[in-house]
Amino acid sequence: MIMNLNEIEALLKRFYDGESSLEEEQRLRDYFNQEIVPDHLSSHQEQFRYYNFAREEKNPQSDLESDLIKKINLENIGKTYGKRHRAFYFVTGIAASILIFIGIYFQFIADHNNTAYSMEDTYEDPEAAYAEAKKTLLIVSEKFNAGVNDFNKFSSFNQYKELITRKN
Amino acid sequence: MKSEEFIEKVLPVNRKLYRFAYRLLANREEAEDIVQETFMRLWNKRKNLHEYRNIDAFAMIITKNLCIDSLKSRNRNVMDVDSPFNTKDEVSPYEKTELADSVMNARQIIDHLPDQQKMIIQLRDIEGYSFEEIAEIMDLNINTIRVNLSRARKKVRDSLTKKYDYELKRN
Repeated sequence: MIMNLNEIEALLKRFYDGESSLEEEQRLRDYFNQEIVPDHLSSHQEQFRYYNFAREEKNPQSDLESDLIKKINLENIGKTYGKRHRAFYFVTGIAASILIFIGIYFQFIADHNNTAYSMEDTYEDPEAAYAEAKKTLLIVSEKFNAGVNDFNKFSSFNQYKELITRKN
Repeated sequence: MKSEEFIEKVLPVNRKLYRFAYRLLANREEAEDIVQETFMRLWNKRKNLHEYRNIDAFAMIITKNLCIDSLKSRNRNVMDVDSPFNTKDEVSPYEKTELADSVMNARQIIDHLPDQQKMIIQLRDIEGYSFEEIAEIMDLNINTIRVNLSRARKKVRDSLTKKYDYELKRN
């Protein structure tokens, strides 16, 4: 695109007055991007060439964009993982409640009809029942006392311990 | 907004945000941190992003505010010699291309403009935002922006002209 000097100078004036449009500014940058401009315009050239240069600049020491993409994808994986987790908890929750209901059904409701496990009297005669119960309790207390006898060894242990602590 | 849409529609603004932050802070690492923070906030708002007419400008507002906060805390820490905020990056060897050399003067002049003029030049002459968008980002009216832009452009022109005249006389 060839522009005459008058046009360029008019555009420059609008530019420095802050009145140029984006298209006009683009034309100025294009014009000054060429190698050779008239001497009296050369001091403007660097400003426009710098603008052209600066819009392509990025940090040469890192790759911010791929870092950001990585982060976004990580966030995303975290989100779907969380969703799957929640679904898993929901389903296992339902399964567990079903199991509990089945358990309750067999424990209480189904057993109700099965008389084999319900409480029943085993003796007709109360005297015989009493005698049997007394005999059972005696055996228990005997075994219990046998166990308690072993604890007497501890009291002698305590005596010696007291002797030692008193010496010190 | 799903991640694919987010990557397609929101992510590309990251370069503009980085250049803006780097212009203001003159520190690459800090500029990157601010862009990362901006994207974290945008990501957290992804459900409502459709409501914004101009996501680009919205992202730029977040970055601008983070930069201004950072500059404020830098001023607070100015007495602290060891503060990491006092470091300004040197131009890296990667950036020292022939092209970069030929525009180094313009770059330095813009870097020494007042923050507000620096931001307006960055948004208009480098990133090509419309006056309406710049008004939204800077929270200023369009006329103030035109006036400041004009001032900044003339300063760049005058400083460059002085430099060229000086070099002409010297040769």
